Amino acid sequence: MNASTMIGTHVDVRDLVVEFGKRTALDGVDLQLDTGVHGLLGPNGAGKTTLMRVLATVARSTSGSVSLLDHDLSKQRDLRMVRRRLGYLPQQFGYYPRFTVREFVEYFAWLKEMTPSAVPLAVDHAIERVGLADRADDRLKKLSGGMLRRAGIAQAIVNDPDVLLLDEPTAGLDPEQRVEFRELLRTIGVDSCVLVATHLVEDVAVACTHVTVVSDGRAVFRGTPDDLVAAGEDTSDGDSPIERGYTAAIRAARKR
Amino acid sequence: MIPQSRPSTEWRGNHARRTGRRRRFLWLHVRARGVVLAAAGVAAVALVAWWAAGWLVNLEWTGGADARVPVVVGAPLLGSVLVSAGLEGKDEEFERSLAVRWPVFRSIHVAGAALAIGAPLAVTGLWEPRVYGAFELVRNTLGFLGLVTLAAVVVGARLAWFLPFGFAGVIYIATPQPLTEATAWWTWPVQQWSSGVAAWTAAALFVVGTLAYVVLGSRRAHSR
Amino acid sequence: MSRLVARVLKMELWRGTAPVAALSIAVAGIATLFNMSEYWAGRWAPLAENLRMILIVLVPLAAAAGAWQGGRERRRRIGELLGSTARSPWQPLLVSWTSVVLGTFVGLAVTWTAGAALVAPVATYEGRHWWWSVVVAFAGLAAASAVGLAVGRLIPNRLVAPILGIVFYVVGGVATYQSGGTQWLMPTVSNSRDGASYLEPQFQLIQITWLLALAAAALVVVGARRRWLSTVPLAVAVVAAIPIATGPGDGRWQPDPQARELVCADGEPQVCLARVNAFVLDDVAPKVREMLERWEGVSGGFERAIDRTSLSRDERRRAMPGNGPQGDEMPDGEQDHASVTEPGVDLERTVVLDLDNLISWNATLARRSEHGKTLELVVAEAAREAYGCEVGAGVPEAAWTAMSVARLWAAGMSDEQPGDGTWVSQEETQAFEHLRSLPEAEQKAWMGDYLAAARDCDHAALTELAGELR
Repeated sequence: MNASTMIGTHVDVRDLVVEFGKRTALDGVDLQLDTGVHGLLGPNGAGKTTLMRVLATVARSTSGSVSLLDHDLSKQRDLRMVRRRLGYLPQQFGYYPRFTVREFVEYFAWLKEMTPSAVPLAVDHAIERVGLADRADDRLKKLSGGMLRRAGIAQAIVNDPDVLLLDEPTAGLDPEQRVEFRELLRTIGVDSCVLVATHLVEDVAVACTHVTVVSDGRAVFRGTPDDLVAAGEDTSDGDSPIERGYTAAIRAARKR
Repeated sequence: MIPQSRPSTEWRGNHARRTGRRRRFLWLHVRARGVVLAAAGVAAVALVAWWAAGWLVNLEWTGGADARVPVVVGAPLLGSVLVSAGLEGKDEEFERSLAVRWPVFRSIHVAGAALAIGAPLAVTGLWEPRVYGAFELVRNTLGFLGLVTLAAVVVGARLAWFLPFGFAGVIYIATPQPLTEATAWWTWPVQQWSSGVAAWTAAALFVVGTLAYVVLGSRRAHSR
Repeated sequence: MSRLVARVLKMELWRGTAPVAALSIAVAGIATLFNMSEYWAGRWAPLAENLRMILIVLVPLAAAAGAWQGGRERRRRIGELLGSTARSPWQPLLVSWTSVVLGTFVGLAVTWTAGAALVAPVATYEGRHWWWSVVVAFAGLAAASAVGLAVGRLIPNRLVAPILGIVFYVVGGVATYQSGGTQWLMPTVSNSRDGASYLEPQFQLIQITWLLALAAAALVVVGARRRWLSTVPLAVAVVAAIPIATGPGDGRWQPDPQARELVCADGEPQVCLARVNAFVLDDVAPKVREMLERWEGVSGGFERAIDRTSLSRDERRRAMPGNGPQGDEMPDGEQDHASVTEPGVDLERTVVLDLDNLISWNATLARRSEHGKTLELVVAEAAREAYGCEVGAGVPEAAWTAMSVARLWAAGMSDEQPGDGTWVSQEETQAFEHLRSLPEAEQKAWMGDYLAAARDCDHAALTELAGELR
């Protein structure tokens, strides 16, 4: 954790372009993130998930530079250093149904090349933080959708990541669980960079210190949740101030 | 110069439009269930079976028709394993919510599979149909399909291959030699056509499996 | 191996395909092995040979288990998550493969142990180099599961596992039908040698090298970031495969003189079995002696019985009716071995005991084999085998009758059919009844005349002898 204080910029994306064949998913994104909880908002198909996948080192950029924790992702050796310090919960969360929660989290602790001696404690801690301590020895196939998400979050945070990427983490969580989850995000965000992709605008309003809005493959808004609220003062589309800000940001981008 | 005619649905009657839509749904259904790939697989199996049957019988030291037993068991087994995946949709839960008469579709599906495997295999076994030839190939096709459909009802189509696969594996070796009619009720895949018990068992399996599948459908995968 | 890796392996062992693989291989293995227990009961080397034979079923199971495990990441849609982790992909792959291999190994070990429990208490010969055969069987499962794992990774379809299993079964079947060296590329052995022959350890080491190199190549192809690295194990595999494929087929079997050494029961007349079969000697000897007594007073009658396993190929051929080669089970190419019978022993007056199928699962003499063979019929066969000419269309009907009657007499049959698949005609039964109704001395005289005529191929005399009984 001390390592995080040494890091200049946690996430540094410059002019990122990702193309799948003829389709352009990301079209020149710039993004610099430090510690704190960052919200990534945007309509479906805007490129949120693609951006998350690039940052999670599972998708490759067509052009532009991406560096995480001061390591350039285009270098194979650096990639391994970054991945050790990374936590990722994909939108389509796959799992082995016959593993227990504890086994699943431990398996990922191993995959993240954690120090073996630190693993048992870290696993217990991660499971406790997501509130699954009483279900730790249940098979994953016996868990409900919300519990599965939490098991997914547990594997993401087991290595105390410096960069934590969560793609739609609140899907399937009930209101109470979401409150607890936001609390968890705030604690992790103290000394890590947490990036949460979601289209639940309220989550962002409450839990995030920074917001980025993505539309049509570009970052069209960057600022604090308050900035986003301010941006929406002129419109009436949306049920909450932040929803109005979000709608306004998207519309402004489309007009351009 | 005659202008190139463009296909248009405008002039068609209401009835024609409905059949067109139905045909389109059928085609989508066929594609969604991977029927094309399975059909290609079955064709390949039939060709290999045809070649293997000839090769085995003509080896210098094999004892005639008995040499075809592996083909008579293996080809229908492979065929029914290939079609097993098509017994359920990618999202069975969702498909069932559609206003489609699934029992009708399921019956067509099983009958089509039986025909698609049985017919080409029967053609490959015509030269000596009653001694490990066409008759046994058809019987085993029906029997294995019965096992596949039964397994699909119990464990779901995705794992349905396990039942005929395991069963064939066990009998193929554990069958007491020489073959007797007394064991025909469970060694039906390796019996000759002359064994009535074997034929009836296979037929009964097919009927029971098909009925269960038509009524109940494939077991839905546990929700996730 | 760190404790963490051990725990991860344990997870894979319990949560992966390993338990299913272990169970199905143990069940299929025991079912098939014990279905042919008469070929190995009481004998170490035949147990190993039969373990290799049943691989024709077990190898496909191992391949299917590997393919199922290999397809898991795709079935569970977890590739995305795995791709973001630091550890090189070959490590989880290796752990995953190790778990499947251990599962298949447990299944095979259980199978072998079940067989060994029946062999150990009674075996009379420790066998030669058979444990190498067992090691090859294990290597075969390892290779099959590795290839399966690779194919399961590469081909995105749930049905890969069963289809690969069936393909492996077909390939294995075709391999055992080969007479050349290519049959040894599969770990499967096409037929048992009754423990009278063995395979050279050097040769089996080459087989192990070939199988393990193949496994390594398959794993590197799917596990390593630099796929070209797989050319290294692939090259090793090819180098090992060349001497196997171009070498002899059945000729790889070396005769084991120790296994064929005759062990004789105390007392007279002489009854001897090969050392490898000697555990049934106490069951066999009294019965055979009882039957040899019948020949006392028959001129040229049989006065000793020895195990067919001990005979050289030439001797086996001479023991055949019409002096073979038809019906000779010894495939061409197998190395012959020197005669073990004492010089000067008269093979003509020796009953050749063929105990095939006559040993029951608990390593005692079976009363009647699956095919209806009994020890009595085996011993009586000598009467028919005395016929020294080519068996075929030229043999007159009456000669057949005489041979059949002689056999029935030697077996001490009464009215019933032999029950071993041979059929005694009405005419033969009547002739036999006629012979039995004669006084004993006349019976023996007839038999003596028969033996003399049969050994000389004197068709006229045989016809006359048959005529006497009409």
